Amino acid sequence: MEPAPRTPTGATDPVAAALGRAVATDHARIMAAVLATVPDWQLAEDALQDACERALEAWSRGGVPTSPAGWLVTAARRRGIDLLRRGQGRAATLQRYGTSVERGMLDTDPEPEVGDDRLRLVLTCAHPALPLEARVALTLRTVLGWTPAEIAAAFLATEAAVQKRLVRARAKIAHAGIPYRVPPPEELPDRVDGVLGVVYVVFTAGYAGTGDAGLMTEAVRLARLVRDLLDPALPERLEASGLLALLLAQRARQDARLDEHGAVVLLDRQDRSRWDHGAIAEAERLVDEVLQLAAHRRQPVGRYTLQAAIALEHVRPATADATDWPRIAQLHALLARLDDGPAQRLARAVADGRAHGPRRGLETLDGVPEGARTYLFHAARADLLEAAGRPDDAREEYGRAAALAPGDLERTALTDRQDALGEGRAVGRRRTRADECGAARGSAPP
Amino acid sequence: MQFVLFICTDPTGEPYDETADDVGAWFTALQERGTHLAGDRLRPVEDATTVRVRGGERLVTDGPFAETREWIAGFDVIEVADLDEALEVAAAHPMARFGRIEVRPVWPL
Repeated sequence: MEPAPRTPTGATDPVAAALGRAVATDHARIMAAVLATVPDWQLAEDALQDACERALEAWSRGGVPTSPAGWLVTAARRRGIDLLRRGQGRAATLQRYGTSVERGMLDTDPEPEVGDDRLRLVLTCAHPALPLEARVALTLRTVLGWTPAEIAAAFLATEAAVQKRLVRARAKIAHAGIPYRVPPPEELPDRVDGVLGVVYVVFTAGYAGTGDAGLMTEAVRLARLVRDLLDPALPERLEASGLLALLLAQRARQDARLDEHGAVVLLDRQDRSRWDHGAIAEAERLVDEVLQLAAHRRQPVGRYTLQAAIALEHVRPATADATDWPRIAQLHALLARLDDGPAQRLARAVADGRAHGPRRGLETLDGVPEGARTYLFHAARADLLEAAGRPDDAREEYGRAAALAPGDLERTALTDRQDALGEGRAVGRRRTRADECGAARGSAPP
Repeated sequence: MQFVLFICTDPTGEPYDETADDVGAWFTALQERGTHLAGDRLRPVEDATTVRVRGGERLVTDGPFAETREWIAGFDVIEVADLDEALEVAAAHPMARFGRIEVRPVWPL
């Protein structure tokens, strides 16, 4: 069901291809095993780089080993210990581990066991003591095996800036004493939340930013990995499932989201046959499972699960007109207890307007603070005012929205609506592009 | 690993409540664990004096080096396994609620 992980481009030579595959699919496993022996993150990184270079040479001569990942772990461990012995680690690392290196306690096993140490790797990459962008870069590099150039391209940064971010993050892990471990149960909720936040940032960068489908696929892979690494009995696993469901539901519409010119096609007008119904079905199963378990354990349902449930409400009906707005409004009310930020409130207002009439929607909108009133806020408010039979107010509000619109396309749609209202002439409710725009954007991304 | 906890005031913290100030219990618990190395309150910034030497000349001025609404009200030096343990110790300090605590690893010479 899952598309294969990224395969490095241009690897026509079978040795390079084997290496690329090992790194792309097993990076987290390899790095976790190297770190278990070489506790300095920068040194471990350098040692693995070195092992990859040696692999090309050694495998060309002697053939690709049966376990490429195991080979890389052994080579990287040897190189790392060698570097440590030569005093190349940071002072902090040497102070903590130097004696065991001297005593040969960190020697490599002849047959390294590439066990599953990935959870602590994932959790350490997303440690809250690291700035968010460093957590994202470190996760992509260390867990998914992206190169700094790939990270730079995905996040519209320079490769040098990404490198610097990674080096600094690894230095902070060493200097600030960030432990490499799975935290005790009482700390786990916050820490898992941090990991899920990183996954979400990666997905959003693909979804809303560069439109990079590969990035979304990788975010889904990461979400799946995090979920699989958490024990099914852990309460934190529910939100990991919820996030996976959310990403699956959103990515399922990816192919239908953009037209041949790259312009966004609104939810109402998307060709539903082009949606990935397998992914939607999996998301449905995940959300059902979470809701059942949460009810059974009397555990509150988290925000990702609620967002996934809302996204699924939008894709479940066969046509847009059959959307169950009261159910969506109900889910938004639950979500508002966990997240009542301006974007969330805007989405809730649209749902309230559809479910319970424009007046309710306007009431909900009133809670959006002055400073957070974007063009989408004004567009949604104008739409609700128009539906509430207040054309003069609506006209004014469309003007505010148009003044803040980010591009010509959006501005024209808004001024068209404004013009359609005429001068002091009451116009009945009719649906035009901006209306759908407000609704679709507000409640679920188009 | 040794860490210094800078106990800072912070206007965004909960208002100070003497009855909820359990710093004594915090200190005793750390002492029992053998985690606390040194620490104390500091006199307020009104009693601070800053000294600088510029071009061989000693300049003494009244007050802290930066005028802010937040200042360091105390410090503690602790010996713990790692940052997570340091954060756990810091979070249990009452000033984590009334103010905030900056956790910095000691950088031995």
